[in-house]
This record gives sequence, C-alpha cells and structure tokens, in this order.
Amino acid sequence: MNGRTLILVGSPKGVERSDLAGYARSVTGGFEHQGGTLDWIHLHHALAVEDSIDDLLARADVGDLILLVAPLCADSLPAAVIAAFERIVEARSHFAREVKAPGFAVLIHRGFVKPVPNSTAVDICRAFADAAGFLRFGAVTLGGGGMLGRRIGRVLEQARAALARGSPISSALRRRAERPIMPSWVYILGGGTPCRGKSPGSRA
Amino acid sequence: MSRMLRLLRGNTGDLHHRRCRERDCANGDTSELVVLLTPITFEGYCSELKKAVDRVIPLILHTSCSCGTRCTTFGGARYPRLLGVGLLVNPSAKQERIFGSLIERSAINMHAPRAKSGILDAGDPSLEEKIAAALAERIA
Repeated sequence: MNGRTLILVGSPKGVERSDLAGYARSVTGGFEHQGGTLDWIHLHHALAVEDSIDDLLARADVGDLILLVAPLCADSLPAAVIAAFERIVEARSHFAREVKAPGFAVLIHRGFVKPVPNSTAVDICRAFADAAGFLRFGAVTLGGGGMLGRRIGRVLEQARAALARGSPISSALRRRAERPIMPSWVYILGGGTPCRGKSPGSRA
Repeated sequence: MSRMLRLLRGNTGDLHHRRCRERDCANGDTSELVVLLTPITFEGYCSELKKAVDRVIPLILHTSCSCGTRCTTFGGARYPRLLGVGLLVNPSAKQERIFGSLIERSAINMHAPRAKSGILDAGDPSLEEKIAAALAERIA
C-alpha cells in the first residue's frame, strides 16, 4: 500500500493506550516503507473538537484506504463511531463521487470469547461503506479480549499482506479469525468463578 | 415509564443535564415495557440512541451509582420487556433482519423477558395515526 491510509480508532482509550491501535499497527506495518502514509484519528476526540472532525472529513475524501478499528459495544459499534459515520456520509453526500473511491476495511474486537456477535457490527459497517461510496475491503473480527494466539497473529499478517497488495480481506480469513480461542464453557467456568458469591443478591 | 421512554427514544436530552443519569434509568425499575424508537442508521440505532443504550448496559450490571445512593436499577426480579421500532423509507427484508438481530442482542443484554422489533416505513403519510391507533388499542 503506497497510498494514504487513514486509521480510525473507535476505542475510547485512544490511540496510545488501546489494544486496537496495536492491532492496527500490525495490519498496517510496513506500509510506510512502501512509500505510503498513515494518518491516525481518534474518533471520540475528533467528535469533541470541531476542527478535528473537519480534518477527518477532509482526509476521508483523499485517502486510498480507510481502516476502522473498533471494539464491539453492546453488540454494535460504539456511539461515537456511529456519530462519525453519520458525519462522514452527510459530508460526502454534498460532493461528487471520486473516480477512485477509497477502500474501507474493518477490524472489530470483542471482549468475550465468541466473535460471532460481531457480525451485526460488520453489517453496519457494510451499510456505511455503501452509503458513503467507499469500496468494501473486508473485515476481521476478533474475540477473546487481548488474548492473541499464534493463529490470530497469522490472520493479522495475512490481512496486512492483502491490504498491502491493494486487495480486500477475504471472507475465508474472517472465518478463520472467528474461530473461538477456547471453548465457551472454559471461559464461563474460568471467568465466572472469581465473581461467584460477590453479587449483592448472592447468599454465598 | 415516560422518563425511561424519553431517555431511550433517540433524543437523549436528559443525558446532558446535570441530573443523575442513573436515577433517570432507575425509572425503568417500575416499567413493564421499554421502547427503543429510532430512525434506522446503517441498519442499526442512530448515534443518539446508541449513546443511551451504551449507558444503560453498565447500569444493569452495577448496583451502585454516582449519586451516592445504592440504586437497585434493574436489579430486582422483574425486567421490562423490549420493543424496538425503526423508522426507514422503503425498508427491505434484509434491513429488518439486521435490525431484528440487533434488538434480540439488546434484549439479552437488558435481561428483557420478551422482545419484539419491526421497521415502519417513514415515508408513510399515515404513520403517526397508525402508531397512535396501535398504542390506543394496546392501552385499552
């Protein structure tokens, strides 16, 4: 990828502290060595500051690739991400569509083990890409919080290779990332044990 | 009930007031039904309603709040049922499916015993009358 890549960080933690920003660095690693440029935008900050949102809208129009990294929040995207989507679509509706529309790739991350509920958020991103006139460049959905195994590392590397070639992320790669990192019962057993007996209504 | 509806209907003016947000949500404790009414934005909630939904989830999970009182928000045995109503011009079956799955997931998060969803055609000129008639029938 030797063009301009715009990375939209949808985590409230921001670019420095978010795990998602780390994943985005993995997916866009080496782009700058190929002659590309990376622009990072923290959506929560951009929406709070009027100048920043204008900057975001301007950069969205000239980018070659837009990569959204966001956590799953109540089985959808965070409110700030949806608000940014609304602003981008509204701004782009006033301009004629470019000859070459930017690609829009998505990386969604969920704290629980099963990444399947991410599919609603992917559908939302797909609808946004169509409304904004972006090219769909696929999605990677991850579960299990910050637990990254070797398989996920390879998935991110393959996603990076696809985007570097200017190709979309394949659905096979997304399916591979969606395999849970451990059986659900192990997670429930391990995650529930420390909480058991601590709820106010519990007799234990 | 009415305050809860006001909180969740997509116009979250209450969220920006100084009043304790958790105390507003505590009104849900006495509600039997929560209605999420929203214009469909990218097959899901609009950003304003999503802001409220994001805030409701932690209130269900925690029993203490910033006002200093120990709220039992949604902490009792009874949780309100959930109705999701989306507004969209010329809705398609696919959009209805995606919105329906979103409401289903929200119902799980909110511990709603029952949930239903539907999309209304925002281009229908008699929409308001239809909603009023349906509500009147329900109340009767």
